[in-house]
Amino acid sequence: MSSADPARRRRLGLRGRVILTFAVGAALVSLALAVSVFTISRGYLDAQRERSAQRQAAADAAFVRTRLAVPGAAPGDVLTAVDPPANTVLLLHRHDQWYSSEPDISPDVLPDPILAPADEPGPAILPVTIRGEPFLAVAVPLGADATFYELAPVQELRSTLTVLRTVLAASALAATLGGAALGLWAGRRVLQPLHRLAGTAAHIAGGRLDTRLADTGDRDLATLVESFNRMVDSLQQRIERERRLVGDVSHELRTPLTTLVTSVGVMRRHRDDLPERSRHALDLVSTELDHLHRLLEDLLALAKTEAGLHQDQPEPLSLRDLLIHTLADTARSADLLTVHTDGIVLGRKLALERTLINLMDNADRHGGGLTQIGLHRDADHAAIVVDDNGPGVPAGDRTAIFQRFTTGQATRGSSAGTGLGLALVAETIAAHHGQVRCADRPGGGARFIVRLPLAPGVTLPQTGRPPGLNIREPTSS
Amino acid sequence: MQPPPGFDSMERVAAKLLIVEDDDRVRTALRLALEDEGYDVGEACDAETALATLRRDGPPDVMVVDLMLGEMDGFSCIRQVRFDHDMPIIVVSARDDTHDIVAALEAGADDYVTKPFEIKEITARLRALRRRAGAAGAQEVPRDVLLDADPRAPLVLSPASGTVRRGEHDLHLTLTEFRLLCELAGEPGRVLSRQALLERVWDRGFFGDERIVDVHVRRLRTKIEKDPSDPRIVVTVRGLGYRLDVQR
Repeated sequence: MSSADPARRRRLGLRGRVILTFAVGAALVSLALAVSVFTISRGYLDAQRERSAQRQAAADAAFVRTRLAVPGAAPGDVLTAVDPPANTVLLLHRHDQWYSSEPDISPDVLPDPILAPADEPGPAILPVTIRGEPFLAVAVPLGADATFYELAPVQELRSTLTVLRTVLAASALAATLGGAALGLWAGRRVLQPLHRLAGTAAHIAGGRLDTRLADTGDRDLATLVESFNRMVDSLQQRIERERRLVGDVSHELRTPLTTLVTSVGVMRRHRDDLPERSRHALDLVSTELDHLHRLLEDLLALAKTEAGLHQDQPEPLSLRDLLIHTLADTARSADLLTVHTDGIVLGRKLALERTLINLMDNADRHGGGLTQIGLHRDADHAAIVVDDNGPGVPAGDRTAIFQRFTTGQATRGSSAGTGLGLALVAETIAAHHGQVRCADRPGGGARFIVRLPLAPGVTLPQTGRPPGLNIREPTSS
Repeated sequence: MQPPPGFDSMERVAAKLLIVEDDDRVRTALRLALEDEGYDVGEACDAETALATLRRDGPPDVMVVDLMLGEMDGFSCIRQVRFDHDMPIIVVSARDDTHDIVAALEAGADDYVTKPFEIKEITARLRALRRRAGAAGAQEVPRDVLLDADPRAPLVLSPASGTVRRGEHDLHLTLTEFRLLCELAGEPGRVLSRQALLERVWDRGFFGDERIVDVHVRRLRTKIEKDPSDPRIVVTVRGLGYRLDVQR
């Protein structure tokens, strides 16, 4: 069980998975959209900028060529006469001489491929970076010995693209968050019927078997609602049947047993009037009847505990009081009890009494006599320790003795165990969320340890004990 | 030596007891056992016979009623008897079904025993229920107690005469309801736990069924409270028990 825990922790809950799915989906879609919008826009804008740079360069080159054709024209003056867009740098290479519109920009900035004479006619174009700023270099050959270079700035385009990229990234992020929010909402919506289902199931588990899921009118949920309700119907019917069966069996068996117990009681009262042989037979009948009575009560109690049918409600109980009264009711000495610390548990009085009686009877019948009952508690459990004086229980039998109709071999036949006592103990303690186990008593004999969870934060009402009811207090107080 | 429980210690006459039980064998066995205990036992095999016996012979001192009867079940039988009579009624049932027991108590039964029982169990129950009110504190002189000082209809408990009067009217409390009221009125303003009441009125120990107290308090309220759904005289103290508040 503990090994499955980390795995469970690693896996997200249903709602987490819905949110994650929505968020990832939104992220993927918006990212793909952003990337393609950005790529297409950049390609288009770049191409447009190139074309305009080329057109501008071609126009400027035509101007320069016309001016240079005029005899005596100075190339430097020609360049100055050109009126290019702002920040554009013009360079002219003529008769192995360089001319520049910006004196501090030398032709060194031009990349090599563009300087090489172009084989094909038409302007060549390449991106360059000058003083950290991006430019497009366009080369336009002006006849055999001259080339016109125009460096068009693309800084503006770059900032436009940066803004576009930022906007797109922000949109993608917003879409992802939006997707997650949508996922959260959808998860809640989808889980709402499940929450209702869980709530209803908890009600039913709590014993309110007439609880049903309301019809939501939702076609997708109709099947679930219907099968859930059908399941609870059949569960209720089964429990009802079981309850009836236990009731019928108990009625059918208890009625004749009442006649027997009462009649044998009458005979016992007049025992002295009977002849010797009849007295002997009466004693036998009487003993067997007691056994039968106990067997029936244990059997019915076991069936009821298993079916979850209880006579009383769990209530806060002091184990000390419970033990004192159980000892008194079964005519055992209060000296057997040693209370180290009292513990308050949430329990069913009658079921726990029967359990304690069974443990004590077991010690008396099979364990050579009850020697001591201890009551301890630790942080969250109370422990009742029942010691006996018998031969102890072999380690291999310590689980089996809590199963039905397992009575100690050595004492079988002579003793009057029902074979159900310890099974009932185990069932009852389990129904109280506790454990019972068998161990060795230090110094010989068997030790039965019952552990019950303490009721947190419960205080018992002060019972105003009436005068005249004498409860023997344990000597330890 | 203690007299057998069937005899009234004061009057030395056998107490009259009526068994209503449909199973012949159980009924016969019970009669034998209870006669041994000193009761003057009458028998009825169904509810109709029982009611006829009551009309013919007058009320017994105590009744023992099985819940599973013929045509008319034990619940209706008890309800019918309660119209006119206040004697203790003990239910014997082969079912220890919660609903049955609470329903029987609500119908008017005073206590219950589940089958099969040792005869001494039933005689102990009978002895407890037949004790006179205030027997526990017999030293004090029983005086009338004013429980509700409403000038138009004062509620007065008279332990000596065994009556409770609201204005001009006698309230018909059963013996057990009367004893329960006496216990509560004996310590007005003090919370008595259900366990304590169970011990004092029913003589039941630690393992007694506290629902008996709850049902009886409910029944008592319908008779003495002006508005039983909003009790003022016998109030519930959650988790602790019940308290009697005198209305001044």
